[in-house]
This record gives sequence, structure tokens and C-alpha cells, in this order.
Amino acid sequence: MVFQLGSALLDACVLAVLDQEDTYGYALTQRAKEVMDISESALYPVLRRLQKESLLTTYDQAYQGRNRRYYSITPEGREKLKYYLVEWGSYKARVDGILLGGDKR
Amino acid sequence: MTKETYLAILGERLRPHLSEEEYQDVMQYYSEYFDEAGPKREEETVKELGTPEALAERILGEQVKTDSSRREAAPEENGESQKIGSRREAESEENEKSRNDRMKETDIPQQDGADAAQKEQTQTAGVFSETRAQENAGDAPQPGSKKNWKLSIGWIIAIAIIGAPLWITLFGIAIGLIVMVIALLVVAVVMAVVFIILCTALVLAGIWLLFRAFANGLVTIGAALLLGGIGILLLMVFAGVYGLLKKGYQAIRERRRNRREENA
Repeated sequence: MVFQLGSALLDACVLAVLDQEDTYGYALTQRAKEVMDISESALYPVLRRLQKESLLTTYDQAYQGRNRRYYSITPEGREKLKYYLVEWGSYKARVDGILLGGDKR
Repeated sequence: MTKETYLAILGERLRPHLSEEEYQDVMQYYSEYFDEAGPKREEETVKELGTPEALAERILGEQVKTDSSRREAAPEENGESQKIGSRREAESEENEKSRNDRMKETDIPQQDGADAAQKEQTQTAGVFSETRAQENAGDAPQPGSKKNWKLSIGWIIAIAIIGAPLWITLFGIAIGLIVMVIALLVVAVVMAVVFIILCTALVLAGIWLLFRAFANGLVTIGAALLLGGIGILLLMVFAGVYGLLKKGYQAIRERRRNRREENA
């Protein structure tokens, strides 16, 4: 991928995925890899941080005789996601404004 | 490398720097990760995750970052290091803000629940924060780069202070030379003016003397012309030096203007 993903955007993507449904680390990583060029290991610290900031919580569920830790978005996480979406919208508009020409401010 | 060896090395690297709870969390995550990938993809997963050493570094780097953001929320406890921590945090927050654009600042509630174990962890990890932050500067351009910059400013100041005897001396000599040149130029002009005035006066006096005592008159006129010559010589020297200085000054300005145009 040509474009680098900042940590805020990575946070936003994780929150957005979790906003759809609860999921576990491996699946989340595979999902994130579809859009981002992140190394497999890069997601754990992000999840941990978001968890510490109470934007998501975890719960454990047995799966085929072992444990699966699911991540779930919190109300605070949804708030943050909303904020990210607004920010992303204006950011995208400004980048488009330059890349695709048009109004020069 | 098998899952077991990978996790063993990872755990060994992380153990001294993390609290029990955090350590368990990381280890569970990656153990689970291997399980999800399946035993058949073990080698592949190892390749994807990178070396356990690098992974540990990355996790610890991130750890320090989040811990320092915690520290701001935590109540003031250990004066000095606390202050440093929150200042560092303030900086990274500032960075983040400017990065995130200063549009609407929807207030996102920050949880405040630092438990003692994590705080203790913060202090141990703090030792590594310098190097970690720098190593991590590549994938997360937050506090690292700024810290580097600050470090170099510190060096500049230190070198300036240590080198004070040298540069103060050089500075003094330079100022002395400039003052001397200016003084010499002023003196030259004054002397030239005085000499030329004296010269005209003495020539007139000489002409008058010619009629009284011819020899005396000749001597006086000769001396007067000598003075006049020296005066004119001084003026020429002044004009020459002044011209040189002016040319040098203009050359410097020209170069600066060119550079500015190049930059623009």
C-alpha cells in the first residue's frame, strides 16, 4: 500500500470494524489487513491501548476447547468513532480538494 | 521456529518490563493468535509476526506511550518524574491535536483508573522510554522526533557553554577589528581634511612669505604641498577601503537574495 496509515486512522478502523460486530484478535487482524498494510503484530498494541482508554472491552468465550478473547466496542468507543468519522470526512474532503483539483482555498 | 519457542522468547523479553496482568494479556493474545492460525500455518505465522525480539520491542514501545498518557490522568504523586511525564504527554497530545486537525474538539472522556501495578510499571518502563520512543519513531512519529530535536538543542547549549572561552574571545577579536577599521577610517578622513586645510593655509602663507624672506617662503610652500599630498593620499586610501567594504556588503546581500529566490 502506497499510503501510510496514521495511528488515529488505525484506531478508527478498528473501532469501525468492532462497531459492526464483536470479534477476536485474529479475525480482526485479517479484516484490518484487507484495507491496511499493517504487520500482523501491529494490532495488539492498538487493541490494548483502546482497551485501556475504555473504548473497547474484552470477554472470553470458549471455542473448540480453547479460549477466544472477543473485543467489543463500548459507548465511549462509539462516541470516539463518531468523532473520527467527522474528522475523516473533513480530512478526506480536503485531500480530495487538492488531489482532484477544484476549489483552492 | 515453533509456536512454543516463539512465545518463550517473546515472554522472556516482555516479562521484566510488564506487570503480571499486562504480561498475561499479551501472552494470551499471541498464543490465541497462533491457535487461530492453526498448527499447519505455524511457520507462516511466525514469519508474519516477525522476530519475537522485534515484536517485544514494539509492544513495549507502545506500552510506554499509553502509560505516559495514563500518567496525566493519574494524580500527582512523585513530583519530579511525574512532572516530566505529564509534560512529555502534553507535547504528544499537542502533536496529536495538530495532526488530527484543530477542528471540533469533541471531548472524549478519558478513563481514569490507573491501578498501582500499572503505575509501578510506568516507572520501570520509563527508563526505556527514551530508546523505545526513538526506535518507534518510524512507525509512530509522535514524541520521538520532538525529543530528538530537544536533545540536539541541549547539545548545542552545552557546546556553547563549554566553548565559551573560545567563541567569546573570537567574538571580541572580531568586534575589536571592526571597531579598529572604522576608527582608522574616521581618523584618516579627519586627518585628510585637516591636512588639506593646513595645506591651503600654508600655501597662502608661503606666497606671502616669498616677498619677505624668499627661502622661508619656498620651504613653507613645500611643506604645505607635502601636507596636502599626504591628505589626498589619506582620502584615496579611505575611498579605496570604503569601496571595498561596500562591495563586500553588496556581494553578501546579493548572495542572500539569490538564495531566497532559490528557496521560493
